[in-house]
Amino acid sequence: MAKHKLSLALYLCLLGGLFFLAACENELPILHVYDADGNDLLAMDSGDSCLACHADAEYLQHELEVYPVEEPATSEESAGEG
Amino acid sequence: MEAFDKYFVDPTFIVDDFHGRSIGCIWCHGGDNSSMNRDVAHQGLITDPSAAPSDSCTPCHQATVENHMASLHYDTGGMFDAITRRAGDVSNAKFAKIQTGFQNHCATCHASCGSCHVSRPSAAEGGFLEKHIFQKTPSIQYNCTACHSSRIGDEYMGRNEGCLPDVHWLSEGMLCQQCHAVEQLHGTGQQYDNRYQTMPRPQCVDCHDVVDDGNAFHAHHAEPNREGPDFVGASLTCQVCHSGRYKNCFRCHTGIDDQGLTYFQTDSSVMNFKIGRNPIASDLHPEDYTVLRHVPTTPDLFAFYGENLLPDFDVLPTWKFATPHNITLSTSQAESCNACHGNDEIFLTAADLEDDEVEANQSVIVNGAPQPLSE
Repeated sequence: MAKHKLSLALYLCLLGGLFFLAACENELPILHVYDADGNDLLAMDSGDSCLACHADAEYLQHELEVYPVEEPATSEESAGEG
Repeated sequence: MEAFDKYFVDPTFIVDDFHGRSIGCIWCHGGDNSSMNRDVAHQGLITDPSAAPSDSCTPCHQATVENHMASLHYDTGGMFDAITRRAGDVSNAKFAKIQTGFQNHCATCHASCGSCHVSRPSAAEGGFLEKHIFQKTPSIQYNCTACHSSRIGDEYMGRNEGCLPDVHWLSEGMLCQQCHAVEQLHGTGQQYDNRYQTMPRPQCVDCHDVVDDGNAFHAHHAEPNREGPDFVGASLTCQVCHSGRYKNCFRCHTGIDDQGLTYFQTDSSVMNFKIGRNPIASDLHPEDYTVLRHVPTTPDLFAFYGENLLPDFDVLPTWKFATPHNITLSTSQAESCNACHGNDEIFLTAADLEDDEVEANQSVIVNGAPQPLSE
């Protein structure tokens, strides 16, 4: 019986882990940009994660729809030297 | 511009663009590049790194940055000089109110490095030029005329109803930097009061020789012929004969609305053409007469911030030396001698002035056109 409980616990842990990874997969953008030699260009960016979002057109579009950026408000009538 | 176009970065930025390849993102923009969480990654984010170019650009472009930080593009010193002179005593408490107004309304037009080489200027709502790929040469459309719009861009490209484009654009497609050298645009480190002092500066005679060219108008009126045998006593800027109607703005008022947002409002602009005395006559601009453009300043420009903040308003004219960018070979005022001589309509006289700007413009108005000539 104890063996079965341990198996069940391991199974549940494994299942939870899979759910966690799946959630991460949905939350985090996974983008790879390869050059002609097959090098992952983003990996060259010293771990810089910025372009993983900002260079992924589809993901960025989705993010901006879900979390629209508030532009600075202004009531200027016109702009510039004119 | 769509929000997407303001934030999407070309994936090749970190490969093909030197800045992306060599520097990465956080050197300039701050933030936390170790986190994949949006909020954490954006903590301490610097949206316009070159707003303080000494931090981001100086390590590689020291000389250019130092020059730029003294330039009119960076500090909008031309406007500030005029406001300061109209304010008179800059040591009093009133001047602090003027500075607040200036920062809220006028200084927002300043240009950072990124305003020309990465993005559209913030005064024109920003947005990347080419998905964050740095541009060595700014775009005439998205940079230069994004700020210098209604008075330069529209005139140069002929967007005003009934007005021709500038011949340099129409015939040659000339870009701004073909006349305005990079040293003038970036600055040379020298501080100037206004753009007509900046060096190097473009001059028509750099390309167009008006001495001994067989043109009687040039012989009579062009400054380079002042010592010539046919000169008739009054030199004119080239624009007097070769410019068309241009835009003039009137009565700007500034303030902050109920929601705390800054605003300015002007009366309707007017397209017209006025010749008057040269208000900045000097060795650089020795001509006797020039075309004059009305700037929108008024004695109560900053009335929202305090009473009588510009007590010396009259020390400068409101009709200012102008170089409209709508040059054509043939113009109505240059069709013949008497298209100008005797034509009061195209000269700035007291009748053209508002009551509160009469004194300010005494040095530039004339009594009327010169007498007609017997052809």
